Order: sequence, then C-alpha cells, then structure tokens
Amino acid sequence: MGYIFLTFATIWGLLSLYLYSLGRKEKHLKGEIDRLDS
Amino acid sequence: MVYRKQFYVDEGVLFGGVRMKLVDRILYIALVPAVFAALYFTFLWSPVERQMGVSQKIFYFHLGYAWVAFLAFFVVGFYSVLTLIKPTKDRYICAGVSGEIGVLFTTIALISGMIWGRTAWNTWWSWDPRLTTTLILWFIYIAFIFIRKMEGPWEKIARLSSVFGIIGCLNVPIVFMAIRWWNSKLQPILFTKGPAGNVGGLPPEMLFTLLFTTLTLTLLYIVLLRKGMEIEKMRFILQRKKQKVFDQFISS
Repeated sequence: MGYIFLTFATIWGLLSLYLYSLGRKEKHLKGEIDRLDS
Repeated sequence: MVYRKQFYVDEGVLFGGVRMKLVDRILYIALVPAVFAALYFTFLWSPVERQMGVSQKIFYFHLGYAWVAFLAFFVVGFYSVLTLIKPTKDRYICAGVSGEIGVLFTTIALISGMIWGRTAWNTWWSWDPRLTTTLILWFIYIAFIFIRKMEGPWEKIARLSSVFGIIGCLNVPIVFMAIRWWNSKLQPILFTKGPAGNVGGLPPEMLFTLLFTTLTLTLLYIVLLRKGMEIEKMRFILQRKKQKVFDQFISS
C-alpha cells in the first residue's frame, strides 16, 4: 500500500509542479503583454 | 482579453478564438470524469493480482504514462522533420511543448517503474535493456529542452533541436523492441510471444483498465499540449511587441 501511495504522490507532485510552472509562465506573459498594450 | 483577441488575429494559424475555447471546454469536461473513472477502474473494478497484490495497480498508470510519452515523442519527431524541411513557429512550438510533456511523462514512468521494480523484483533499478534505453531516451529529450532554452534566433535553435528530436524519436522503437532484441529476464512481453516464451497475457478486466487509463492520459496530454502551445505563442507575441516598442523608441 505504501508503494501505491508513493507512486501517486510522485505523479501528483510532478504534475502539480508542471501545472504551477505553466500557470506562472502564463501569468508573467499576460502581465507583460498587458503592460506593453497600455 | 485584449491579448487573446490580438494574438489570434495576428497569429491565427492553428486555432480560431471561439473554436479553441469550445474545444478546450469539451476537453476539460471530458478529462475530469475520465480521471475519476480511471481511478475507479484501477482501484475498485479491476481484480487484485494474486502474486503482487494491490501493488500491481501501479502498472496501469506506469504503462499508460510510458505509452503516452512515446506518443509525445512521435509528435516531436514528426514536427521536427517538418521543421527541418521548412521551419515555422507553429511546428517549432508544437515540437517543443510535446517534448516537454514527453519528458514529464517519461520521468513519471521511470519513477513509477522504479517503485514497481522494488515491489516486483526487489530492486529499485536494474540495467535491464528497456530501463537503460528509456533512460537514454530521457537524456536525449533533456538535451532537446536545454537546446531550446538557448539564446539566439529561433530558426537556428529550431533546426538544432529538431535533430535531437528526430534522434530521440528514432530511439522510441528501440525502447519498445529492447526486451525482444536483448531477451530481457525481468520485463515480460505483454501482447506477443517473446523469444524466451515468456508470454505476459492480461485478463480482460485488466486489459480494459489499462487501455482506459492510457486513453485518459492521452486526453491529459492533448490538454497540456494545447495549453502549452497557447503560452509559447504568447511568448512570440511578447517578443514582437517588445521589438515594436524598441523600434518606435529608436525612430523617435
């Protein structure tokens, strides 16, 4: 059971990290584009 | 949003604004229940394997991630060939984002494979042909990502990274065939008879769960690919806007 938990914690952790980095990148680019437009 | 409208008017090669939103909405709506259904099939519906017990359920996600990573690398290979023929921003972006997702999925497959190895073979790592070739594949695409992070004109970076993308893609069939060519003692051949006669074979419930999980992860891959491409295109828009502001500043 511990191994299953470890597997899903890894999957959850890596996917969350990737989605977080995508979100940060998008927020940064949106901010920069809006700043140049205004 | 201003940027979105302007973005698709300027760059609208791949998606139209409204259509993309609708497609994305459908994909998100389909993905959420699919993930829950995959978890249900994995943990509640599929039978518990006699020898390994509950730990065997790692296998559905491990194999699913590995297969979808291969799909991602085939997409990289396809767009890398097209980029070498005629580099366009769309091809460059699609290959890059697909490569990133492929590395993410391969990392998950490698780590879940290590955990699987610990439960099934009592070792975290073995220099088995498939594990070794998968690790090589992972390093090739890490190099691919690093090349794309380099400074310089995107056409040059696109050509160089495409070479790595194609080399990595050519490695995918080697990973798949490794256990057949080098007669692996650890990894069973699931769907065909191997040279050692070690036929894997899966009961229908397990096969269905495996295919459903793989389909769900393919959906996740498509969602991530579309989102990643949208963000990468924004980067090009920003570069062009900055250049425009710089030119105006110089000319004034």
